[in-house]
Amino acid sequence: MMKLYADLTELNERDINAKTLKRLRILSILSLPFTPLLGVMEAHILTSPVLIGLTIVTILVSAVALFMLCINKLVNRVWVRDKYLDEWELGMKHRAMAFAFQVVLYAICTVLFVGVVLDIFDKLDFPPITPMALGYALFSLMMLGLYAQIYTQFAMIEPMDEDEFDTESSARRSLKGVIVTSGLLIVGLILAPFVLGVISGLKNPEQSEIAILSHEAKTTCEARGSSVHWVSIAKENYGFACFDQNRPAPSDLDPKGTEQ
Amino acid sequence: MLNWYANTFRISEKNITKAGLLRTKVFAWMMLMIVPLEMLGSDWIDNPKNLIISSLGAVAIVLSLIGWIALLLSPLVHRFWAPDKYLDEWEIEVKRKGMAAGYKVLFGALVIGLIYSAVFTEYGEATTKSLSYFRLDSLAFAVLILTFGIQTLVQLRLIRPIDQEDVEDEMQKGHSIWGRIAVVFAIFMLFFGPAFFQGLVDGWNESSTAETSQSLKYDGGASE
Repeated sequence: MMKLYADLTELNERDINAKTLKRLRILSILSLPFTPLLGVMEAHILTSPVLIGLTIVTILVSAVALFMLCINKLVNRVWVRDKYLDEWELGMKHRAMAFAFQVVLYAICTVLFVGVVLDIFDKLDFPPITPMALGYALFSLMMLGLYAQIYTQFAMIEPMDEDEFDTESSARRSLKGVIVTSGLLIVGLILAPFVLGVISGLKNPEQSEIAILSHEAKTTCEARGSSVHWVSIAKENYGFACFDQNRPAPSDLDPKGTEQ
Repeated sequence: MLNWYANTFRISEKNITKAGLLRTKVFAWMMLMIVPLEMLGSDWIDNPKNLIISSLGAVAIVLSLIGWIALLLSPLVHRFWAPDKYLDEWEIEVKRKGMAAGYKVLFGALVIGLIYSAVFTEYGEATTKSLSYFRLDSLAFAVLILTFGIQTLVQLRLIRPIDQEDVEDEMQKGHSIWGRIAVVFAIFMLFFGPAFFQGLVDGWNESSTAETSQSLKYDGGASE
């Protein structure tokens, strides 16, 4: 498996010429807004539909750039085991990873200093951390490490001249590598949630009905300007209702979002 | 400043003898004892019903603290955090290899955390399973200690020990222990200083409030 990964990410002259490196730099810059904008969207800061639309488009563009960056051979090469790498690659790997390690560790230390020592989260009365917020924080740290690693690699590589490489075989191998790596990445990303979904669906078939109904209730109630909704999946009373926060909860449920 | 730091923690021959390396390794393992406790959380340790676990937890915390302080005093730890320009070739190599190993562990921990959060967001009760900041801090601290310990252990494994007979005692004279103690003190002050002074200020305020209330009580009694 590791041998296959090493073979797929084997670098050739094309991967480190000036044009490819320039393309990679552009991709890395394009992918930079992905993490902060995702945080902005999750925090529900934006209210204007135009701004929300623009943000979604930017997130999509940066997501594509990030995906292309993640399947690039140069980025993946540092994750190959040492025994498959040559001296130059080993030097690049260790230097890039050492720098990324320091960056992420300093970031964690800063968070700990702000959180534990200065006690800012408690003082500002922040709400407790949901798994979603935790995931976002971890993803941000991962991205920080990834960019530190990538930019160290860029700083270390001196691009090769165009005339020096043979185009035929390398182009074929490169295409094969990109297809297989992206295939593995997509399967890896989709397979785990898919299996979990199947297991969860088999265990609790009502779960999906609740999710669909909750989503429908949320969108309908929010469209009416009512922030609270109530969902019931009792066999006779399958439905939801929107009601004002200040009013008491309805004793009987009107189907399909009738205002109480 | 960084030059002073690099020089203060210059590695001497005595540090890389078999005994010196073994001692540092033991301290690193002792420091790592805190990791499972931090992962499990304080509720699990502070359980009055299970005194054995509580006692073992307390012993582990003390040992870990000893290991941590001993490691912070060791040049074998600090030297590899100095900038590359102050290090020898072999030191740079050991530093980078150790940090690369630490980065892999750190990345793995982040991925596991990400999977956990994805699973609980999607399939758990997202609102009731929220983490407190205290819990998050202890988890971050555990990850920090784990990666720092792994990095140190990998670096120690990469150093080839020298024979005890080759060690020259005169080499040791140049390196002052006071510099190291100053650095450790600065690190401790950075993390515990604000809390200490905050406690001091709170204590001061509370004592003056208590005195005021006492004098008010006294005045009240006198007027009656």
